[in-house]
Amino acid sequence: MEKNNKTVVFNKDLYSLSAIQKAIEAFRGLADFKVQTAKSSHKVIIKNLDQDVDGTLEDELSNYILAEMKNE
Amino acid sequence: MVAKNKSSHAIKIVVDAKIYPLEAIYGAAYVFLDKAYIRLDGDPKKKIIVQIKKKEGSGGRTAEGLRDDFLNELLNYGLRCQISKNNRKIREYIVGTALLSATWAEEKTEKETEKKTEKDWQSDPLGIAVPWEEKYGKK
Repeated sequence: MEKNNKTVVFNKDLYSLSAIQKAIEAFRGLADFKVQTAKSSHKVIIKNLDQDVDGTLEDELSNYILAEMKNE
Repeated sequence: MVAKNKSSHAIKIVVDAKIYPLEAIYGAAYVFLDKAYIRLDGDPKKKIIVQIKKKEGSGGRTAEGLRDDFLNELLNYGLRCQISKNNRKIREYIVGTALLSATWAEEKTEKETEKKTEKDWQSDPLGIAVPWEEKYGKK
């Protein structure tokens, strides 16, 4: 099964690190995640992404984080 | 206030952060999470860019329709935020008064129960303080 790597960038002023970490925990079984914090953004590096969820995982992850932001 | 740009699959809306607080944007976006993929970017002090990408198989609503629905929802949440902000002090006052009243009522009930128990004990309802001879003595 082919594995893809992707990077998703989240604006630090709009997405909190805690919300991102909660989302990563929820999606843990679908890929490997790493978070890097820069000056104005949080970068989520997605590795070993399963091809079955390729194309939608980043978007679903973003939505999950947004839902967490509403609850914060 | 709001400008609209369209890319191949996603629609972007530029929202004036001075008119719509971030809380309203989160609230409106939350409503659409089952129908679309939403991404936020921009400066919360100036302008926020909301990107809406329709989900596959999410129903008959077009991307433009979703955009219009989002704008309506944004207005709705913006109003809710404003009302909440205006009513905050009176809401806190009402809740505070209600909690305080409940505490007073509870204390009053406890004191009354204590007094009643003491009075009952002194009146000796079971006749425990009566000497045996007096109770069962020869007649």
